[in-house]
Amino acid sequence: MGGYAAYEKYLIVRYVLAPVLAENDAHYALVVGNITQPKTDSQQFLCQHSLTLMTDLGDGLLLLKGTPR
Amino acid sequence: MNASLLLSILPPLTLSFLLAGLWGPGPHPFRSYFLLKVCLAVGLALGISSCTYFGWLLIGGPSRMGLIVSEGTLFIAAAGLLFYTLKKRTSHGDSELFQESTPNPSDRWMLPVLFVCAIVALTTALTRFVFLSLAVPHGDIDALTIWNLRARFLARGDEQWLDSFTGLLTTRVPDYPLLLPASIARWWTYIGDEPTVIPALVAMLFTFATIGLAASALGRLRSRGQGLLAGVVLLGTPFLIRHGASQYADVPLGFFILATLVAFCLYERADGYRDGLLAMAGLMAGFSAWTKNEGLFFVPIVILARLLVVVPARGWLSYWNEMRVFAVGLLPVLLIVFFFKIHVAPGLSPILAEQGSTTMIERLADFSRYAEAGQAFLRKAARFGHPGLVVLLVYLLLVGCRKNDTDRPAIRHTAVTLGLMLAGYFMVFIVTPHGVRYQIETALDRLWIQLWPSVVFLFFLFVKTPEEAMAESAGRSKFDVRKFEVDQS
Repeated sequence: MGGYAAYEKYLIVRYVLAPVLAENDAHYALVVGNITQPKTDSQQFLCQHSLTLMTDLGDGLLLLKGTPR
Repeated sequence: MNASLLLSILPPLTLSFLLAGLWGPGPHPFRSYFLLKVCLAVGLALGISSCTYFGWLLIGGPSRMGLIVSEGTLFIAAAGLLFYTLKKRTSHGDSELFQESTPNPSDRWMLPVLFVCAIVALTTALTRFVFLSLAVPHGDIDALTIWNLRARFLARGDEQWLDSFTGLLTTRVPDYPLLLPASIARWWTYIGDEPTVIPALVAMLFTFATIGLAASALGRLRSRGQGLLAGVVLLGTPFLIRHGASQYADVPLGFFILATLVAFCLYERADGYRDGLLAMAGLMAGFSAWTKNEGLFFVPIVILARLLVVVPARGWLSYWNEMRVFAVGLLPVLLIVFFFKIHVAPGLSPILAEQGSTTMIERLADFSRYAEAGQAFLRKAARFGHPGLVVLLVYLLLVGCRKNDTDRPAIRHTAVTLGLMLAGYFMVFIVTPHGVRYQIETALDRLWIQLWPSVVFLFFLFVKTPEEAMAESAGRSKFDVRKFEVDQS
């Protein structure tokens, strides 16, 4: 979740999704997930962050439903 | 795509070439100084069309057909008006700006050799540029997070294009002006698609127009050999090509700084219609402010430098007359920049916004910051450009500086402007709230590249031409032979 590499990925997401505004935060109605670590348990990760899977786009890319703050 | 691409490029380019013909130097509006006018026209076309696109977004909204029709009408009407004015004034009354140097035997081989060197350097630089652009098709990180991101908002955003200037889009530079993003977005809008070749093409145009402008201006102001040498030095500056391909705005800003200074130098030398060159200088300075915030700093600097050079030599009236014409080119663009800053993207750059008055004074009084920034500037000056300033200084020692005073005011103005710009950048490093080390690591190279083409231009304006050096050397040899014969007899 952290580190500059993750931040760079966020910047790329923001570039790809423009003009939709993407924030570097999971507390929104729509969340883009990028799970790149094969060992990550997706279900556990989603529960932990109160996220619900909407669409699995493949290659670890997920469209998720989040809980707005 | 090809027809749309041509439709997006040709009308503003034709209009700009006509404008460069009307305002530019030389006895004939089109034939004289062709390469110089083409290079100026490239910058003018991108500057003017970015302004018309921004105007259309404000007035007409994001309608592709509306943009094409309204811009087409505007450009054709303006081109017609310019063409009519040009036809009425067939001659500028300018003589050629420089006299061909007396041919000497060394010119026969030196110019072709320099020409071959320039062609090899150009081919290498173009190839490198293409490969670098292919490696990062969306540009480096700042292009991705500032320039091309904003271009996407403008081109894709419909009614939401203004969102990219709100606090919602977390970016450190919300108020960066729009010349580059609007140029890219305009082409994307014409094409109806977002090919990555467009930002790369814009970057390529600016990079090679900068080199072409420096070389062609020196080719006319000094000599062909001098222009070719300057071209080879700039083409052989690896960071200029690499940074150009990164799609940042520093190379475009460097183009407009150079174009302003070149227009002033040509103005000093012209002996016929001169006001156009002052208006051109104003327009180019305005576009520098429309490219990056550093351009907003350049505008008062260039005006101040003019005051420091012109007033002691020719008085206040001469300065006032110059500035009136300079403002004709500058003010329309500056009004657009201020409108953008006040109504579209209000806010300050972080370097100003994150300052506290007390801390700024503390920073100014901290001499360790001056030492750290000074060392970094000197190190950069010695290394920059591979071979950099050191090799240029060695060249100066070998051939010496020019002897005639023809361009003294132009050299002074260029030198004072660049000196003040460097001093200004240095002070930014002192007062930065982000730490001197951070600023050195992230900004120094980029700031240098903004000024480097103008530094090379100034250097070759000042130093003796290879033709002069060769002629002198040949003259000295003849003198030695004659002296030997006299001694023998």
